[in-house]
Amino acid sequence: MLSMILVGAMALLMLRLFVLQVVRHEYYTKLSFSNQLQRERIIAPRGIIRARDGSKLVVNMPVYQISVLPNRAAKRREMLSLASQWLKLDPAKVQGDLDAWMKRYPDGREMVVVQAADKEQISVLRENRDLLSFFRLTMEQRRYYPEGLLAAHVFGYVGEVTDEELSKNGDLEQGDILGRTGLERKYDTYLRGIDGIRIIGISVEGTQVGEVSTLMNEDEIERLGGARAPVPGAEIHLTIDLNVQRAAEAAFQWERGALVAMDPRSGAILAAVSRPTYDPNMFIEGVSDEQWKQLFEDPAHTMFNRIVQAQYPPGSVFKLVTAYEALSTGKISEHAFQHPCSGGLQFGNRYFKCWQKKGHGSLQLNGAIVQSCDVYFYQLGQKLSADEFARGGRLFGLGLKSGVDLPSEVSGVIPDAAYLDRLFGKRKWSKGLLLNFSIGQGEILATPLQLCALAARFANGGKNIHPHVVREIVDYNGTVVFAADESAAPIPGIDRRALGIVRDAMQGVVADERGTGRAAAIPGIAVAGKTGTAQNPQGNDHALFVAYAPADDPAICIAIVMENAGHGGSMAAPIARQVMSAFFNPLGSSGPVVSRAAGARE
Amino acid sequence: MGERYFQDFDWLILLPAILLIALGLLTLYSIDHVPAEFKDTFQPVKTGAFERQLLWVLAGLVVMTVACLIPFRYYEGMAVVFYGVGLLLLVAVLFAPAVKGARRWIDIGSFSLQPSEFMKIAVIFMLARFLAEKRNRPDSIRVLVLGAAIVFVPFLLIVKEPDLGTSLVFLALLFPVMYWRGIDESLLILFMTPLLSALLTVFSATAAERGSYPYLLLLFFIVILVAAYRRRRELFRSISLVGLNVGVMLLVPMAWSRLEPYQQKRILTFLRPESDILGSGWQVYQSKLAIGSGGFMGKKFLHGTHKLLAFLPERHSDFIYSVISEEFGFLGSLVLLVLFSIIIIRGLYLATKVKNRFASITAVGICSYFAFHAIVNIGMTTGLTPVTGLPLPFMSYGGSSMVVSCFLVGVLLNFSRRFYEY
Repeated sequence: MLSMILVGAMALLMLRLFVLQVVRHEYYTKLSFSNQLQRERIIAPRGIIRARDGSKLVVNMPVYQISVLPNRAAKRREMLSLASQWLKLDPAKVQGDLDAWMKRYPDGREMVVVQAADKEQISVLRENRDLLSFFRLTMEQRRYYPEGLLAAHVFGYVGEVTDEELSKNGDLEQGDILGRTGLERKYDTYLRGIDGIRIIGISVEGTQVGEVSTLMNEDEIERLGGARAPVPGAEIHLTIDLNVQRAAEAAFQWERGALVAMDPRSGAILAAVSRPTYDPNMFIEGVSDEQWKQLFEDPAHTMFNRIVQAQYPPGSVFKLVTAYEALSTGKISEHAFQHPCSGGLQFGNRYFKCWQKKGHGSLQLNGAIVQSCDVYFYQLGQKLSADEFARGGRLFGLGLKSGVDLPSEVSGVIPDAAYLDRLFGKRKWSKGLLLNFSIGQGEILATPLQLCALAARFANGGKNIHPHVVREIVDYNGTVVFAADESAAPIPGIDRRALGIVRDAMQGVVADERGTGRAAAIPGIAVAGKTGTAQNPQGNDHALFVAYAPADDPAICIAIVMENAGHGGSMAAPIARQVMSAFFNPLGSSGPVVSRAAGARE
Repeated sequence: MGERYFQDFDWLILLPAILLIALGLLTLYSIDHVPAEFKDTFQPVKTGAFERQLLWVLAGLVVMTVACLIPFRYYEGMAVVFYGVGLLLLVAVLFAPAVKGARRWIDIGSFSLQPSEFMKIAVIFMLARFLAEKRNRPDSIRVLVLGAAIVFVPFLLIVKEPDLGTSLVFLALLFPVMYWRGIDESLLILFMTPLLSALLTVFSATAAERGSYPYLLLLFFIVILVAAYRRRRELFRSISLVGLNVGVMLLVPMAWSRLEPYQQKRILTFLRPESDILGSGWQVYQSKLAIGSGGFMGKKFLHGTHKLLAFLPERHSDFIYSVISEEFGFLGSLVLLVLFSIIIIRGLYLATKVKNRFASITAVGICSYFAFHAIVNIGMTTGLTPVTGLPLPFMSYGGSSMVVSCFLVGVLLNFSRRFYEY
């Protein structure tokens, strides 16, 4: 009996040894090279961003990093300096950096020596793996913007998490990549996905043996805290139409300014340009201090997303609002003539000039809009109150954040009486201000996006749209996790009749032979628009233009602001024509669009 | 007499023991040996374990010879003295300075004595002497309680050190010896089942935490009920059996819930070392790596790699088996198991052959000692049994264990020479 128990126990031990040494020999051999099991993060691939047609605008690209294992390299100085030469590095610098690194981080953590290795460097390491075992080659997915400068401000850029952020947010980990601006920031949580975890063995010498989770059974993995596959970040599908965007980028040949094109029926942004622009790829490779300075401290404010962050006086574009408000409040009728324009208007002790020195003569509303007569609108300014200007402006989205899905949007300014009281003191402001308001000067400020949304609301017959660049976000298994609000409900209290009168006039701006926006005309397509030339304290006038087409059933609207470029009709309108032509004729093969009004002026 | 001496001398006990001792020495030598291919990575650490162990082996062989030559009646006569001295030492050790939180050694001059090792011998002799008396057949509760007391007093003293692993050896001695002396089967069951119940209840409690049902405990409970039913004529014992076990099954969870979480964790990792690989299960995990990577043929003598690394702690002593398994592979591991089995089976055979009752019971005790140590130690290195800190007889580095093992082999040889004596 006792012998039986003994034999039984011994047989059990033998079975156990058989399992360990024969059945699972391979697994333990692999593990035995490790003195450590580590849980290693598998960084989830960041979600990519696609244009409306599905083409990839923001992707990930594998980049190889070369790093040095300090403790091992320090023992092989000569080899290190030789290897540095092979890798086209300065041996003295590598040595020096390594010494400084080891002083700073005595825990033996790896020092990166090459951020993005080229093919030659990679093959040097691979071919001499045994000799150069103190180097480590790691692959990383880096953000890549294949279109370079295109729509850079919309995408924004990404950067590695800083120490400060790490200390503030416990969920972040060293090496995390975060969106810094633009969509990368706004939808960072969607794009980031969920990192995976794998279990790797680390050998005595500190090198990775490789993943061992695949060899372990579930219980063993569970005991180590689990392993899991990464969940890739969700994909963002944009409303950006690559064709229109490319045309806009090509057409916008001006140093500073912005362009926004939108589908007025849905608020979907088709193209967005902000100038000056930058190549977001350079943030990936690492920006030098000098570049940084250039980018962030230059007078042109390169990093500034003018689409939503810049506020401009709308100039004559605002006359659309003035006209609508005067009509809808019954201050004027469509066919009533105002006092004839003789090149200016005396109001109190001030003389308000019209841009046309020789004057426009007697005008009805339609002609006043078509020719953008300032004197006509000054007279409307005398009839309207500050609050009426504000009401009309807000009706079309001025002075309010549009709620677009781009970060850092500013609200613009649409002053009402209370605002002016605050600014100047109660009742201390002169009625003359309102004359300025009537032609979009003075305190009124709008972003390019707001101007485009304004054009959209005229285009779609007074419907509220929600401007957006993200159509939907789709997670890795195809579920739509976010969809843009593409609804377009009528603006409450909109006066359709007044709107219709202004819309007719907008068509004249482009179609009429005296129209200021003739340069935007496209043969075969009725374009409606409004030019603007905004005085500003910074120098030359800003050139502005808003437009939509086709006039009877608009599919695209556009707003263009060119800083200090001069006249909207001559500078901005031709750009609108090019962009809209590309929209209506995506193949772009119909030849040049005939310009009917080379010298059109406001 | 000379011829007879060699004729009756059981070489099948001596030879395996000598082989195991030699293997142990070789392994200790190997542990401190750095293979050429790792010369520039590892500085050889001279622990001097091999040299010191060589001295202990010499001492052990002397003790073995002496133990073999002394007439065994002398042991029977001295059993009480041994036992008394052992108890005194166990009490004394509780006042010794603590090493790593435990008081297990008494420093005497330049070397330190582990009273619990010595006590193992004393308890075997004492039990044998007690049970060898004709009237002390363990079929009565009285004999059972007295016999258990011989074991439980040192058991409790050692638990107090604390040295849970060593203390379990004493419990392990009790049952085979009692069984050998012809304990009443129902009494054996009565005594053993509450221990199993306690163990199973703790396991079930942890299983329940992981969401599985305590099937084993249920099954065991049914077995007890069946056993009680079959012995329904001895009503008192049947009722005691069920009562004791139900009591344990109820009390253990209550006691368990009263423990602090860290105490619970300590017990759990004791029972299931792999529940915490990166913490206290580290040794076992590393040991399994060493053994598993050895494969069928092993990495050859001196060429083990795992032993080099400081991450196999206790590789000289408690975990020496993993080094052997790494270098000699599955084949070597089997040879070792076989060598131990031969010693134990020969010892048990001797117990049937020897005419003296004291010698017979002692032989069973000694076999239990070797079997328990070997099985628990090897089980520990392969992750089957808790990490107890029990050395592998003949092989683990350490003087106390070596001398005691040699002494016990000497006693077995002694019996084999004089098997005909009453």
